[in-house]
Amino acid sequence: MSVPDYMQCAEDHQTLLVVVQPVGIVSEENFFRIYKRISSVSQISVRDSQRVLYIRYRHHYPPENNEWGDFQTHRKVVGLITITDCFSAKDWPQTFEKFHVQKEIYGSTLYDSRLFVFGLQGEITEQPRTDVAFYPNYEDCEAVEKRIEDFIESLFIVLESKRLDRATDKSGDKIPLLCVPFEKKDFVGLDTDSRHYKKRCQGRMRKHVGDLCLQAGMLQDSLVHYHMSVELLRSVNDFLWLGAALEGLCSASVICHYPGGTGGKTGARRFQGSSLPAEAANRHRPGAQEVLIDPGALTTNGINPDTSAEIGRAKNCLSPEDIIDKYKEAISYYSKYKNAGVIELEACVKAVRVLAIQKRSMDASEFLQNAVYINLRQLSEEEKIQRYSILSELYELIGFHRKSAFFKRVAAMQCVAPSISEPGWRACYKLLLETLPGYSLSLDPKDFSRGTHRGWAAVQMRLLHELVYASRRMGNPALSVRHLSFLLQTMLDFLSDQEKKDVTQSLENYTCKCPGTMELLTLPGGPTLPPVPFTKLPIVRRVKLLNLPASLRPQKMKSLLGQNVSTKSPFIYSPIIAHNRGEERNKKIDFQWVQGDVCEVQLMVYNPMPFELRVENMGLLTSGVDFESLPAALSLPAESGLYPVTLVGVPQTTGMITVNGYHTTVFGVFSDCLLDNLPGVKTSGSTVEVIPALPRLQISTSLPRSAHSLQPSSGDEISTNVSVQLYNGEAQQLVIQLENIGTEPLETLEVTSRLLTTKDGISVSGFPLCSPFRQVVRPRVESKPVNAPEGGKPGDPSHMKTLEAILNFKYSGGPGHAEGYYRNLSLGLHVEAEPSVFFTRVTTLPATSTRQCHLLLDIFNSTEHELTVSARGNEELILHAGECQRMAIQVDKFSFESFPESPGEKGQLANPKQLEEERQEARGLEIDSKLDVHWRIPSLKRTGEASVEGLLSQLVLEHLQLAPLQWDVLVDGQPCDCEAAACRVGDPVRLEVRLTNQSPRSVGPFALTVAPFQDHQNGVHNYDLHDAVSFVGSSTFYLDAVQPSGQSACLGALLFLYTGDFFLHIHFHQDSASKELPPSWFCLPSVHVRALDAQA
Amino acid sequence: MAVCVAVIAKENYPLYIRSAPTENELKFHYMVHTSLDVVDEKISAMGKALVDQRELYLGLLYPTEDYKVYGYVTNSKVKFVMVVDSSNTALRDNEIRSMFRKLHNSYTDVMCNPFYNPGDRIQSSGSDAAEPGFPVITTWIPTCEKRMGGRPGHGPCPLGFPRMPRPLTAW
Repeated sequence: MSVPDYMQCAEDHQTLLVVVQPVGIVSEENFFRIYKRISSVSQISVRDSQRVLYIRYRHHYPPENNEWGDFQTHRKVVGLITITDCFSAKDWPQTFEKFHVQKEIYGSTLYDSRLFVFGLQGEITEQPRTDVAFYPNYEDCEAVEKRIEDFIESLFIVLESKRLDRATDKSGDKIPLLCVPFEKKDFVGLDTDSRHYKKRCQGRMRKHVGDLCLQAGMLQDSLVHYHMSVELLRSVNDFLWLGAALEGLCSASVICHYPGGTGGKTGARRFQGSSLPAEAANRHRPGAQEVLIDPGALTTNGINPDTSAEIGRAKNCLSPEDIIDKYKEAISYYSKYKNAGVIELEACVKAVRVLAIQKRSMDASEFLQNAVYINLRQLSEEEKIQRYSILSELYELIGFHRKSAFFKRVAAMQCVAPSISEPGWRACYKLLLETLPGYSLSLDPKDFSRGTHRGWAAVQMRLLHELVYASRRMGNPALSVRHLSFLLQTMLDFLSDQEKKDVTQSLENYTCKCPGTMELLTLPGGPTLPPVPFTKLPIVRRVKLLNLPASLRPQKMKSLLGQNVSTKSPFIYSPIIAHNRGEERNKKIDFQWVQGDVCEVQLMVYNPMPFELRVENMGLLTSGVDFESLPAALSLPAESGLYPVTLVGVPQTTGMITVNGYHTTVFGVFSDCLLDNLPGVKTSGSTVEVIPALPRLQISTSLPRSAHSLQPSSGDEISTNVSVQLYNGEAQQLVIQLENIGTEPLETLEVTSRLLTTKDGISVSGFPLCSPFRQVVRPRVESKPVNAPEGGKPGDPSHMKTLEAILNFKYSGGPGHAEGYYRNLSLGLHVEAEPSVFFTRVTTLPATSTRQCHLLLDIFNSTEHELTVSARGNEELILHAGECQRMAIQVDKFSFESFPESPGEKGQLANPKQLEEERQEARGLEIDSKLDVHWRIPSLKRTGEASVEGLLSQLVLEHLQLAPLQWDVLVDGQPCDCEAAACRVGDPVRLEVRLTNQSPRSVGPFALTVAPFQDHQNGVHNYDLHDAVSFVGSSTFYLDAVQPSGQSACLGALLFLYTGDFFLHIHFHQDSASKELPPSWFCLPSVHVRALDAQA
Repeated sequence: MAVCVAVIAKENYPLYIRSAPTENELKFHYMVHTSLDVVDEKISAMGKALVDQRELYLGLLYPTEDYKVYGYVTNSKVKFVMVVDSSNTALRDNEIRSMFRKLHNSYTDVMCNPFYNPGDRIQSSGSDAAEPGFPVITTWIPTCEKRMGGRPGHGPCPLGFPRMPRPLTAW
C-alpha cells in the first residue's frame, strides 16, 4: 500500500467503503451526475435497529490498498457500483461481462455489487435482477437513491453476519491469523500451535471484530473489543497490529467524543439531520450504553460474545488526552514498519485533525512534523504537490499560518518543477496567491503607505518575484506588470542598487508590450488586484500651489473688500483657529487663480533610484473645476536631492479647484498618485478659488529690460524692470507699450506712479505723467555742494546715486471685471545717476542795473570726458575732464514772491522748516529755468542740464531776489537805470520817483532826499554842487503809505546849470517806518544824468 | 555555534536577522519565519502563567533535518530565535540559554541607545557572521537605515525543495 489518503479522518473508521466506477464509455458529466446522487446516500439508519451505517464512496481506489482490508476494515472495498451506457440489447452481454471483470478487481473483499445501466430499453430490462438496474436515461432515474439504500442494506446484512460470525467464533475453533500483505511471507513455517501464535490470532481477530462493530454502528462494542485486542497484542509484542488496535480505540473514542466529526465539512454533514447538541447526541447515540470493560471477562482462550457482562466497569471510551497518547503510541508502533508508512502517515493526519478540534496546536505540529519525515517512496510530482498541499491545509487547520504558507509555496513550486513536462503555471500562481496571508503580504499598496514597511521583506520579495514570474508564464502580462510594480513600490527600501536596476529593466520590458494601468485587475480566483501608483518614483515631499506672477495676480476692488472679511468669528485673530490642523490639507489658499490663465503647482520631488529617472506625462489631478492639465516630462538625476518640479494647467471654468494629486508614467506604468495617500507630504493647502477671466497685459519698453530688481522694501512685486544709467541732469525718454495678449477685452486702465524714497537724500524732479501711454521721466539728481577740495579734485567723483520709481498699470475687463477684480502691472524704473557737472561755488556780483546781477558759477567737470557747458545766451565753456572753471552769467533778478507761496492746503500743517525747503526748491527751479545751464559731452553725444538747486546760499538768494519794493526813477518821464539820461543845461529836468509795493503789507510813508554828486573817477565824490545844480522846489520828497500792490509816486524837478555828468543819490530819511524793513528793500537805482549844452 | 540568529519585534517582523552561511540566507529567513507559529503558540499557552514566574526561554521550537530552532521571548514580547546545527550534539540546553541571555543583554544595550528608534532595524557593527564567535554580538550599533547590511539573495528553496528558476536573471 503506497497511496495515502490525506483526507482521512478518525470517523472514516466507521464507514463502509463503496467504489463507484464507470464501465465502458460513460461521459464524465453523466458519471459524476450519478456519482453525486449516489454519494448523497452516505448515512443509513438500519431497519429495525437504532444503528446507523456510514458509507464512504470512492470513484478511484487502488486495489493494492484493498489488500490492507483485514488490517483496517474501512480500507476494504465492500461494495461496487458500476455505471454503464448501453443502448442496444446486442451490447448487453458484453456490458455485463465487463461488469464481472470489474468485480474481479475487488472480488475478494466485495460484499455485494450493483450495475446501473443507462439507455437500454426492451425486454432485457424486464428481467427482475437484484444486481442490475436499468434506467432509460440519466434524467429519468428517480429510483437511484432508493436502489442505493437497498444496496447498503444488503451490505449491512453481510457485514452483520460477518461480525456475528467472527464474534461468535467458538473458543475451541482455530482462529485464523489475519495479516497484512507484507507479513505473509514472515509466517511461513511458524508454529501455529504455540500460545504466542494463538494469542496473536486472537488479538488480531479481536481487533478485526472491533472494526466490524464500529462499521456496524456498535460503537461501545467496538471499544470493548479494541481494549481486549490491545491487551492481547501487547502481551505478544505484535506491534503493527497493536498499533492498529490502538488506533481503532482512538477512532471509536473520537467518534464518541466528537460527533460533529473531525474532517471538516464532510464530518459535519453527517449530523445535519440532528438538531441535538453534540453532548446530547453523544448521550443518546444508538447503542451508547455505558459499556464498561471487565478484565475478568477476558479469557485468554476465547472471546466472550456477550459484551453486556462487562457493563459497570471502567469507562471504555478514552479521554481526549488519552486519545492523543494512544495515537502517539500507535504511530510509534507503525513507524517500526517501513511498509506501514501510509498507515502511519494517515494516522498522523487523523491525529492532527483530532488535535485541531482539541485546539492543541503544539501537539498537532509534532504529529505534522513527524508526517513530514515519513518517507513513503519516490513520489510522483503530482503526489508531491498533493502532499505539500495537504500539509499546508493541516497547518492552517491548527493555526500555523506561516508554516501553512511555507508548504503551500513549496507545493506551488512543485507545480512547475523542471521535471514536469507541462508545468502548471496557473496552479502555481493560484497557490502562490493563497500563501500571501501567511507572509502577511497584502497586494494593496495602501496597506504599505503608512510608515515604514514592517515585515519579512526577504521572503516577501521572493514571493513577489515568483508571482511575477508565474503570472508571466501563465500568459498574463498585465498581472506581471502589476506585481512587479507592487514589488518596486513597496519593497524599494529593501532592493539593492543592482536589483533596482534589474527590476526596472524587466518592468520596462513588460510594459512596452503591456503598459501598467490604474485599473483593477481581476484575478483568476475572483479577487481583484488594486492598482499600484508609483508614489515613490519619484518621491514627492512638498506640494505647493503657486500664486500667479505678480503682474497677473487678480486683486479685488477696494469697494468690495468689505465682503471678504470673514464673519465666522468675532475675533480678529484666534490661535485656536490658526492651529486647527485637521483642515490643513483642505484649507483654502488665500490667493486666486484666474480662468484661462496658466496656473502652477510646485512639487518638491526626489529620485530614490541609483540611476536617472525619466518621468513622463506628469500632470495634475484636480477636481471642482474643468482643468486642462499640461503634462510635463522630466528627468531626475540619480539619487537626486529635492528637486523642484512645476506642473501647470489651465482652469477652464470658475469655482473652487482642489488639487488631489498628480499622475505620472514611469517605466511604462501609469500612476495616479493621490495626495491623501502619500505619507509625509507637506502641503499648505490644495484648494484655491478660480475667478473669472481677466485681460492680460504684456508690457514692452523702449529701453531694454534688466534683471536688476528694486529694493526689497519697495513692497510691490514688480514684473518688469527697466534700468538705465544716466549722467546727472541727463534726460531720457521711455516709451512703454502695453499689449493685451489675453482673450478678454481691456475695459479700464489706470496709471499711477510712485517714487521710492532713497536713503541718499536724492530727490527727483519732474516726474510728470503726460499721457497714459507716454511717460516722460526726467530724473534730476542734486548733490549737496561739494566743498572745494584742496587738491583740485572733487570728493568721490565715482559715487553713483540710484533712484527708483514704480509705474503701476491697474487694468481690468471681461467677466473678471464684472466680479470686481483687477490686475496690476508694475514697471520698475531703476536709474543710476552718475555725476556730470558740479557747481562747486555760486556767488553773485551786482550788475550795473539794480534789476540784474551777475551769477558766478564755478563749474567742475566730474566726468571723464570733455564737455561743454552753456547757459542761455552765453557762450559755450569747454571743460576738460576734472577741470573747474568759472562761468559768469548776467541774470535778471527774480521776484520770487510772485510764486505761489505756501498754498493754503499744506501751509497750515507743514512746519516752517519744510515750508522754507519747498520755497528754496521752487526758487532753485525758477533759477534753473532762467539760467538754462546745459552741458554736452560731444564724444558720447549726451546732453543734460545742470541745476543750482540746493547750492544757493541765503546771501546769494537775497542778491538774486528783486526787492518787494520796486523803486523806479524817471528822468523826464524816461525810466532811468544804468543808462545816462540826457538833459539840457538850463532846462528843468523832471524827476519822478515811483514806488511799486509788491510786498504783502503796506509800507511807508517815506521821506527821501535827492543828493546830486559828481564822480571824479578817482574815488572822490563831490557833493558840493549847490552852484551847479539847483532844485526846483524841495530836494526832499515825500511818499505816502503804499498799500500792497499799490503804487505811489512823487515828483520834483532839477535844474542843471552846467554841463557835465551828474549822479543823483537818493537816500531815505531815517525814521521808524523804514527801520522795520530790510535795507535791501531800499535799493534805488543810481541816476546818471548828463547835462548838455543848451545850444547843442 | 548557532548558524542563524534573529531578533523579532513584538509585531512579528524581523529587527535583525543574520546567518552564518551567508550564501543561503533566505533559507534561514523561511526557517525563522515559520518558527514564529510555534513561538506564538508557546506564548499563548504561557499567557496564563504569572508574569514573574514566566520562563523567557521557550526551548526547542522545532527540529528540521539539519537544524534545531530555539526560541526565547522577552517580557516585552520581543522574540529571539536561534538556529543551531543539529549535528552539533555538544550544545546543551544550558549553553543555548546562556547564548540567549547574552543576546538579550545585547538587545537591552541597543534599547538603551538614545539614537535607536524602537521598531527600526538593528544593525550589528561586527562583521559577525563570518566570525567564529558568532552569535555573541559584541557591539550593536543601530542605525536608522531601512536596508539591512547584507540582504538575502535568491538562494534555492529551503529544505531542498524544488526551486524556481532564478527570477530576473532568467528573463
